[in-house]
Amino acid sequence: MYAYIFDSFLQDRKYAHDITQIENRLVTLGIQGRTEKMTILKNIQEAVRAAIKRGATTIVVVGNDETVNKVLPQLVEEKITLGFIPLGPNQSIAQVLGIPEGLAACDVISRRVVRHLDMGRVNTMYFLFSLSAPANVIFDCGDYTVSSLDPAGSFTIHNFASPHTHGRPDDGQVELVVQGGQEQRSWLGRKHNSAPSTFSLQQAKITSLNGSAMITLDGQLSVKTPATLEVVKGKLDVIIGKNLK
Amino acid sequence: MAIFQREGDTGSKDVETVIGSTVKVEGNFVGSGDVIVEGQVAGTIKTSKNLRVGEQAVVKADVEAANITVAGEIRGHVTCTGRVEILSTGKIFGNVETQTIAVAHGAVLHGKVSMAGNEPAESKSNK
Repeated sequence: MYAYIFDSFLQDRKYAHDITQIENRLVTLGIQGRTEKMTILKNIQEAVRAAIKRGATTIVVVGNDETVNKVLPQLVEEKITLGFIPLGPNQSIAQVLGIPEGLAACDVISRRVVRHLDMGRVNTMYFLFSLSAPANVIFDCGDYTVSSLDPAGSFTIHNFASPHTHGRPDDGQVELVVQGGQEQRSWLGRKHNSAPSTFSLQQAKITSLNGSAMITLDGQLSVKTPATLEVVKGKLDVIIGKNLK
Repeated sequence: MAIFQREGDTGSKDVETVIGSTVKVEGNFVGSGDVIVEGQVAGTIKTSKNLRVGEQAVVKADVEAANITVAGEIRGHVTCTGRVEILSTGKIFGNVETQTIAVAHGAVLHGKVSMAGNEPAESKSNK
């Protein structure tokens, strides 16, 4: 059973036409379901909880990156399939999942190609896309440790392919990218950023060199070090488009 | 044979691990793809594919790989199943076990080199 949840920012009149088109298309495709339209007074997590209680097995959220990030933790806990119709600004998740924006996404939902994607778990919290940490942490990957020599650098973990990594979200591992923050000079005197370092890993302990550091998950949640990272294989079921990265 | 196309080129899909100039790795690193080291490593490095030690790299580790190109510094035992190439800026302080070796003018090699399958006839006859 499908449930559709529209984010509150879509109440803006400029989206009215798109929403009507999407609703009509879902009826045409025969995949309509109970629809909840959020307002600033309605909590999206409560709407997800209610939909699951009513027996929804697939929850399709309509909105942007923020909308997906808000519902992800509950879907993971309840083993509910995520569908996504991108509408509005900030659509990097849609690009990664290969889902076209607006009306065309209804056909992706209708085709229902479901992939079991890995998720990263840090202590008790999950992330689907990325983890970022400052340069003052150490990744203890079991047999070896990785630390940054550049105090202005940063650590990022990617579950999907990124400009520097070729990882897949179903390969049972994540890619750690260590980026230098300071420009370096070549022997010709030209300034350039050092090439990023990349490692593939399945688990790591993240500790801080001085005090505790903040780790950010999917740009939304924050976790303090020390923390334990592991990849949980096939944790999230997602309806994907043709061009999943 | 160039193991990697050019200095700093990390775009190859075969490159699994890049240890950049701003990174320090300590411990026993084991990879299954090509490894490029531009930073600091202490411990051991082992890969079934190729290893390139960049010009700025300082590797205080025993290293093992299919083919090894050295433009930086290695302090440790080098074991190679294919070819070791020490470029003009390369330095190895340690013993080298390899099938073949190429040492450029200006390179530094302090250690014993043994080439598997190429033992002198005298030592063979003594056995």
